[in-house]
Amino acid sequence: MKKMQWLSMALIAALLLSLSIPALASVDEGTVELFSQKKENVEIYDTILADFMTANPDVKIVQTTTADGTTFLSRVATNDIPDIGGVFLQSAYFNMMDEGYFLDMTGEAFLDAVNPDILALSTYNDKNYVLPLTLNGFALYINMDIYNQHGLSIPTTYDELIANCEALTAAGVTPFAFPFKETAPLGQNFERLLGGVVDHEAWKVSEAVAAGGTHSDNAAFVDFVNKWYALSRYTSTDSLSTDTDDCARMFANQEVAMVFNGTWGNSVYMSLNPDLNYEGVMPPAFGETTPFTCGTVDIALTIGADSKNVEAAKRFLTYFVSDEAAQKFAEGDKNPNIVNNVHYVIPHMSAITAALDDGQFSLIPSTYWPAGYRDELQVLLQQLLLDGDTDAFLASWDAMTVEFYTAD
Amino acid sequence: MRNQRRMRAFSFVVLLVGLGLIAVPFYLTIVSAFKTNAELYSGFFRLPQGLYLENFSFIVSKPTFWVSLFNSVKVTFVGLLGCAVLLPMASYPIARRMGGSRVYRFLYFFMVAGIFVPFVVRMMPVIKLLNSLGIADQRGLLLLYLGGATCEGVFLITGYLASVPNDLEEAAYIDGASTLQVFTRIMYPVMQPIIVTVLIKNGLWFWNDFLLPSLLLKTPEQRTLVLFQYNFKGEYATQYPLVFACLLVAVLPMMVFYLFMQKHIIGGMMAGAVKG
Amino acid sequence: MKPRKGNPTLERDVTHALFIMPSLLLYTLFSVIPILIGVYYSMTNWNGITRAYKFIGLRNYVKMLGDARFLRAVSFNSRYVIMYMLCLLVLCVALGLLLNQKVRWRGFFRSAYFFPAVIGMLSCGLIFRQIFGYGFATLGDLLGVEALKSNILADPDLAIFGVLFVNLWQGLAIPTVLILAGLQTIPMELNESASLDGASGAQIFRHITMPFLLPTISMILVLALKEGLMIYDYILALTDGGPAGRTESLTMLIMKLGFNEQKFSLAIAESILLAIVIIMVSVVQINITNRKKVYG
Repeated sequence: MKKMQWLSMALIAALLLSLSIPALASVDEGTVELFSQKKENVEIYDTILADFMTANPDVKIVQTTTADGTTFLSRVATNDIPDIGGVFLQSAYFNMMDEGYFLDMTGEAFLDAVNPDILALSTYNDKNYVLPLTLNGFALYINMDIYNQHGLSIPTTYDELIANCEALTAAGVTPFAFPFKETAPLGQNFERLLGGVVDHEAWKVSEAVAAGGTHSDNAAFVDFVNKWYALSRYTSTDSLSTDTDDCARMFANQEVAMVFNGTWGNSVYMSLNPDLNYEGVMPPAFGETTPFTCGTVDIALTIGADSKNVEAAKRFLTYFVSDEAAQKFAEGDKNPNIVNNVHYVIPHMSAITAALDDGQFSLIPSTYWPAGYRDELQVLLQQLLLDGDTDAFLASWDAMTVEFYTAD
Repeated sequence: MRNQRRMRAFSFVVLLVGLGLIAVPFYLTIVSAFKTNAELYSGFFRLPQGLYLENFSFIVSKPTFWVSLFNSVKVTFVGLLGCAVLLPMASYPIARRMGGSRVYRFLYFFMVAGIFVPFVVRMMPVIKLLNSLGIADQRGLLLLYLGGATCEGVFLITGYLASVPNDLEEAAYIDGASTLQVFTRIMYPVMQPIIVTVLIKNGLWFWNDFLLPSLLLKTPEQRTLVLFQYNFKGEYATQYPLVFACLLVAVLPMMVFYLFMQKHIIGGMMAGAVKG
Repeated sequence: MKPRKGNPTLERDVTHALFIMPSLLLYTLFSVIPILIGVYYSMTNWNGITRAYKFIGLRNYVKMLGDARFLRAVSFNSRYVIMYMLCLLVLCVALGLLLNQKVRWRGFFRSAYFFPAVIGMLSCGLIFRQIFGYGFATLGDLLGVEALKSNILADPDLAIFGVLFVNLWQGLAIPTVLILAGLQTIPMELNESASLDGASGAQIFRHITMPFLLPTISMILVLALKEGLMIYDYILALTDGGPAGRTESLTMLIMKLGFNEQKFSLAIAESILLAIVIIMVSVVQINITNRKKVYG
């Protein structure tokens, strides 16, 4: 290109640069940053934040979301803790609490607005580092139209569930879809059934195995693994080639009769097919244990200990648990909400809400499993799905547990 | 003669078949973007019934889409500008003095070695560094891009310059030209083909990069198109036509640019690579 | 260099130094120093979160060599990179030769075959994920072919080929153009006189074409080696390392260790080892092809 062209391009570039320099800079110090790890909640958070800023014009608060969990860790690792962070009750975040990255909020007024039992479950070392706001549980979603068509009733035990599956298969209907191509839903499914219908404190068994036991000694566990594997066969396509999106689609399009999913699946199904007639019920009993709905605190907010906007952050949290804000949020989020004065009846999930009110809730094992434990377990589970060798699976599970608990 | 004609016919057929392989994924993406959810599941390969434009209007109506698009353009443009200025400048002395000077030979290997080191090794330290300097945003992103583009850029440009004889420069020096003049008036135009190649490679990288923006760009105002696309996919994962529409829209600027420039691009790369 | 009036070499030295300075500074500050810091971290037990950590020397490196998951990733990458380099080489040379023929629509073909390089790796992976999952199943339904219905990416032994296909689909573009360019350097007269002398196509290829292409091939192999050993984006989009970890590449393992399992220093140690391997193999490869160049 000729010199004139180069020159004019350079000028345009300089112009663009100068125009864009203000936008290049990062979040101002005075702005409060809410770091949410839930993509599903982008819109509802925006609404709540907008409301808050209208009521509090002197505070500016923005939401940043992330594509995946890695960014929160790298933020912490590089000492750039968000003012308000949405975290989970897992060892990675417990480590961060140990290191003092989060503000100790014990005694703050806004903590009183939430269900005290759940609040107690979310303490760490008896301190309140998080404000819990919603829960998620685990449910068996049933397409009631298909059930009614074939004269089936809601199963309360594993045997009843299998009988239903057999009946459906005989009638040419696919009973289940499982999203086991992706490792995370696979791990979720396994641990939530484990923690819900086998042992409400399943992590203690893992600790026992690490100390020298084996999973094969535990009859309930062995029984569960066998039953879980048998159940995974009731799909039309190989479950290892179905991912979460396929699964949701298949359920919404009535291609399958049932799916297991967390309570968050509810809003997905409702948006995919608003006319779908389905119910989210408690998982059936696999053995002696009463089934609980197993889950975790879905939204737990922390304040960065070194944040420069602690006061503003606290004001936001106070606003967030106020009745109207919490009610609005519950309706947008569609997950069980634990703010005391919120009465939100989630469509299709009455059985689960009732169970939660009754206290039939257990925390997922990975709350107390070491970091990466479930990730490794997921790989073993995929192997189990491939070859059906439950003995080999139990043995590898033993070896893996020892390795994780005795790592330096 | 007959052999040659047969060869040509054979080549043509093979190329046509291969073209199908190239085209099918694009066809599917484009076609799916124009369908509704229901349509997609009733017929994956079929042409859409009508041109369902709702997917596109939905995406285009989101202001963050335009912001992300602008950011991508800005980052890519400024990054390429930096590359076009800094990389030839750095490679020229190295290329010319590598043969004689140990210092410059060391500099060459020093700057090229970075090609082989995976980003993960320096990821945390470099982000910490950017944070402490207070530039962990688009400015830091650009600095990282320029630093990272150095390795391959120097490698390619010095390779090219190795087969460019230095007669022109010598003549200019005898005539009393300064080094700067020699560089800007003589060498830079000569290096054009390889500079085009480097700009294209880096342009594709800056435009399509996911990892660095995801780590550094925190607010929607700063995000690039790739991040918008990824978040979009996460939010609307179960509605494939929407996801495909988003993919299409994200790829469109690149496609249009490519269609206009393809003669220059392919020509530039071929000319540049000949000497390298 | 011939001397000239004034103090030419000083002016040149200064200008040259100034030319290099900006890039050198950026590179040193943002690449080299962080790499060195990273090397230091690899010899500690920092897990990414704790404020304090201990120096543990080479213990991470020793641990790595005994870790089954690491070794499995090594096996995967080794098999993959060899397959990738071979396929890429054969295909891009073949494609380059085809596109060099005076066929009809040659310009169109050349532009079309470059097209896949323009979309990002992640987008490409996502598109093919749909095709392998849903597309083939639908095709299988339509044509009544059972084999198509199962997702190749869910098969522990075949998933690697699915990834290979996608990588090649997009990865052929730039090497093909480079080969095309290399083919232009072969003087026409050589080819013509050879065929006049009665040389067959294969002989021409072996004795004329290949030697001219060697420098280009060497460059392509170096880049292919790096790509094959550092493959990540495609695996993330297509299989997420599954099924049962069979397609977990080294880079994917490193990212998972570093971010999901907080074994950060181990992750860095593994990536340094990877870098060393790439450098060593590339150096060997460059030396081998250098010996066979047309022009010394």
